[in-house]
Amino acid sequence: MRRIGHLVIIGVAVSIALATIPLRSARADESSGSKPDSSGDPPSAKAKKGSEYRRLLDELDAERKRVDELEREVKMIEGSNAKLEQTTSNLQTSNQQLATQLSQTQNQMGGFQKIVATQLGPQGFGDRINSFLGSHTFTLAGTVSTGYYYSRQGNHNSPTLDFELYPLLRFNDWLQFYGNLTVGLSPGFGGEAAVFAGVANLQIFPFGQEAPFELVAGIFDKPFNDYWEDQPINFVSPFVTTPLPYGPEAFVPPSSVGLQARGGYQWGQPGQDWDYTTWIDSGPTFESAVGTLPAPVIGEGVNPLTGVNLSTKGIAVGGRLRFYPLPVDWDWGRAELYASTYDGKWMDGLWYESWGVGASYRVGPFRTRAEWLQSYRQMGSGPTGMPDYPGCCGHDNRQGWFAQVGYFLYGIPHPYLGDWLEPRFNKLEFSVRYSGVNQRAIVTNDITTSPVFGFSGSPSVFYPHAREVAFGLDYWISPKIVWKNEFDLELPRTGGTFYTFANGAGTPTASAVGSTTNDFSLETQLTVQF
Amino acid sequence: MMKSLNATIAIILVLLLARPVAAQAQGSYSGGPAAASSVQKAADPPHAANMYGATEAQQQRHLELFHLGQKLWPVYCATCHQPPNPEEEAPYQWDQIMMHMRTLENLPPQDEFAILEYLKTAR
Repeated sequence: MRRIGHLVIIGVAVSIALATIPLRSARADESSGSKPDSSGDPPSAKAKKGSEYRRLLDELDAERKRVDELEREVKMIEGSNAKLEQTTSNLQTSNQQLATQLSQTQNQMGGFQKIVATQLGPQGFGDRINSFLGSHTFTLAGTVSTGYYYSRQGNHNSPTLDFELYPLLRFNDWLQFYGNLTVGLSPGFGGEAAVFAGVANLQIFPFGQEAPFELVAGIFDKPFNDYWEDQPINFVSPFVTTPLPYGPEAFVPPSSVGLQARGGYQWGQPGQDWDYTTWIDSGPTFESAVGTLPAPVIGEGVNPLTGVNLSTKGIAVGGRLRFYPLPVDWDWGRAELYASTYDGKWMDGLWYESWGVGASYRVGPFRTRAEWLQSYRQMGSGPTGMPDYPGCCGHDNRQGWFAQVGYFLYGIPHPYLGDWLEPRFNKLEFSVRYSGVNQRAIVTNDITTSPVFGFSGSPSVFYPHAREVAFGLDYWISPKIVWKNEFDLELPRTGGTFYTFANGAGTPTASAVGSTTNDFSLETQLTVQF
Repeated sequence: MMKSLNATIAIILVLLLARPVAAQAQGSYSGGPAAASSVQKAADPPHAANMYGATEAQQQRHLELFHLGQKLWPVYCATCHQPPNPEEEAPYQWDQIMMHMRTLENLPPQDEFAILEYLKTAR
């Protein structure tokens, strides 16, 4: 065993010796470059090896320098990276701060919005104070109409003037005053100007403007069908005169003193509405009630203003419903259907009833309107205090109607009119209207040939069965200035009775209406709205 | 005659009594943007959307009213007269005039608000 151990030691020693020998040889080669060659190689080979060795050393130095440069670059990049990381960190910190500030701002905005929406901020406080106490704003609008009327049968040429002021005084969100102060000048007023309040009322929104319920207290245009209130002749109506059922022999009073309740609902899409108007007043009165005629008689005129019937303790109620079937989005125009009634007592205990239906439609340049209305008045006889007279004691029935169409001529192609005429042609509107009344009688004491604003003065309208065809040609100088022209054909028919109160007579005399006289008239009128 | 008067009075009473029912119905039906506007409108006065700091919902309502008014303005106004130029009157005057026109023409509340919004904004 000891021998084996010696052999192993010897083997290891030999191996180490063998491994050491080449190293020494290499080192000898390495050192041979700087020392004179002591081996047996030729000098040129030694020089070659030396230069090769230096070249390798140079390359090694160059590589080391490159490595050093790369290491410096790496260090620089690492430095930049560190700076970037620092910058990123700073930005993240700033971002977090901004996010925090944004969150705080949003919370503050939410608070402000909550205050604006639900609480009483400074502006809301002011608005609510104003809505309660009112800002008392005042606006004055109006119209001026001047015209010239001619009637062949009346044999006159007469100027007319109508000057109307519409003061609007708004006290607050639920209360406003509206008035209509009229100055009229024509022979019908005896050559003098007459001033009267056509309308004066308070418009009240007792539940605020969000509720479709309004009250009108005071003098108001009678919303009977759609004429008195919505189609006044000074500006809205395309004609100078009124249709016969609303003319000087109207049988529904045009205005009233009383109380109205009204409102509108949208039942479908925008434009599909219906609305209601109801009112109460003290009932209609007739000429005999104010002493113009000595006794009540069939055919006497109705006084223009009702609701001042203090002497007879009358009361009447009225209502109107309107329905609009077409939505605006369809672009089919605006259609309207309406029905109305006005009923009550006159002369304490005698009935007066009236009702009417109508329709209108407007689309593009075309518009049309038609109405039918009638009234019934119970007439008393001797026992009720009214004297008997010829034809006495029937009831005072009256019917009337009108239909009209109008067309703005901008709806008609006109390529050959030229640059000057074409824009003027566009502003023309042509209209035609047929109207008529049927009533049992006319009181001749009512007949007048004095033109007033809206009435040509033609005596032919004072027939129990009057008829009229009116042609209108309007020129819209601007949206608020219109020059209206009208040509009327009066075509009354036979029938009915004329009642006449002679001077001092308490009862009228009667005569049947035989032949009638046609007439024509011309009216021109310039109306300016401001 | 008596029947007729009674019937008339009955109609008027029915109309008056039907008002709250119709108002509720108006608040509940789904008739498009106008209906939504009418419901929202009941919460705030018409000019609330003009106030500084209006919410997005208020601004949206503002816009809906404007577009509705833009459609209604030429149709409703032209029923009786030429549609007015919004520049003709100051905003506070439009408040007055529309309050009167609503009464005169029985405009539904949301339609009045829409036309008023259009007139004041387009001005």
